[in-house]
Amino acid sequence: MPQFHKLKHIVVITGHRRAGKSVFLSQIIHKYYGIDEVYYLNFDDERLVSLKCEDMNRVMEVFHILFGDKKVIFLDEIQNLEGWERFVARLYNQGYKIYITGSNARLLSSELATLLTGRYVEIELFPFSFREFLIYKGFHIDDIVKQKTYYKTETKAHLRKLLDEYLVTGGFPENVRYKESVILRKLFSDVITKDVVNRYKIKEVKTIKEIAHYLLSNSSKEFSYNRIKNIYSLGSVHTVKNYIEYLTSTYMFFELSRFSHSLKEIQTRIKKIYVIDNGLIDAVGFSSSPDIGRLYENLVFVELRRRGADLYYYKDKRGREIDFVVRNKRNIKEAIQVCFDVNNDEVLKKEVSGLIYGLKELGLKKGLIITSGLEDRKRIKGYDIEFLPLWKWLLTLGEE
Amino acid sequence: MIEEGLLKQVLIEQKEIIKPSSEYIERELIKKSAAIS
Repeated sequence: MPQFHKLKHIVVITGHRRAGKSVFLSQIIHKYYGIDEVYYLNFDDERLVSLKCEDMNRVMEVFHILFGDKKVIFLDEIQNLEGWERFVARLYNQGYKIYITGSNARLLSSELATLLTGRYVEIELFPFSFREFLIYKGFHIDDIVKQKTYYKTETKAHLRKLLDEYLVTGGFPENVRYKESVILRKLFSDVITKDVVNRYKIKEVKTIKEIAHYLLSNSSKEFSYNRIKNIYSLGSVHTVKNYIEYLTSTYMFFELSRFSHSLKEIQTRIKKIYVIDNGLIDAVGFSSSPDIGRLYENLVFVELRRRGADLYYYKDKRGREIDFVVRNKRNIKEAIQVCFDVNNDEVLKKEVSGLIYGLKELGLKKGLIITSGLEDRKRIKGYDIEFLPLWKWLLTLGEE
Repeated sequence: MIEEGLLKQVLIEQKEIIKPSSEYIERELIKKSAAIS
């Protein structure tokens, strides 16, 4: 765990509901402080819904009365306290070490958040990565990587079996443990109700739920605001944009823009939609059977996002596409294609061809194709193409 | 404003809940590039 407790900065942990933020806070408390050394307040408690920023002085007094004088405070799900930034800035000025969590991707983008500029460290917490999933399952992945025993047939087979499970179950800790789709359906419902409908005071509750279902069922695909407007008979594209903005603020959905050197084109062109976790797609989406190709693509997107990549997709005028291109400052530094169905020659040819056209346009010399099992390096039309199985890429074993 | 007796009860209960987890996993944390803003 990084040594955030040594910094005087406010530690801000953001992420989707039930991704493990509160458990993470608990771990920090017990690893670095001890429960009797800190104040802890969870604003998601329904008994605290009436709390206002001006009430917080009294809350602090009660903390003092109950637990004595402490200088470390943990504030869970702080987005529920309107104007929380003022309260947190005040505590910071009083010398408190502060940890906060929030389930809103725009937690620090309000005007009030400028009160905290230069005073915080932000961490995004995602559901379990594949590596974390393996550790949770008791698979000693670090030893296996160190000893390179993943080349053994039985180890590789075991890893691939667990990847098949992770691909559908996803990484929400509770669902990894219990594997009950009702957990994820409840989570979906909670996010829509608490983080969208209540927070943004939405009246069209049924419509926004249906749009969320639509997006879940169309993950890894292009979507258009106009089409959604027509399907759900909404008054304007502006309303659709707002609804999508609310939904993405919950971390459940991510929009992916099509790459262009023009910022205006990036903002106005059609986008793709991705989902925080494959388990949600499986448990809540409309598809009767999982589309493994799309789950592969979604998983790669989430992992790239987890690694902090500045991501786009690439598509030329003739519709030739690269699933993901990673930007570094102004230029594209990496191009990644995802191809589950490598045994289908036609599909593979199409994916390779799309990648090569894109590499040429983007001025790159090499590209990566993430596959279900194929591992190879080929030089095609003057470009270096690496084929890497998904499990190896997820475990960052590409350089081995 | 919440009544003081109830507030005390909530704070005590919440402290009880935040017990150490038996399912400890060292999370892979991504610190954003502009982390220290």
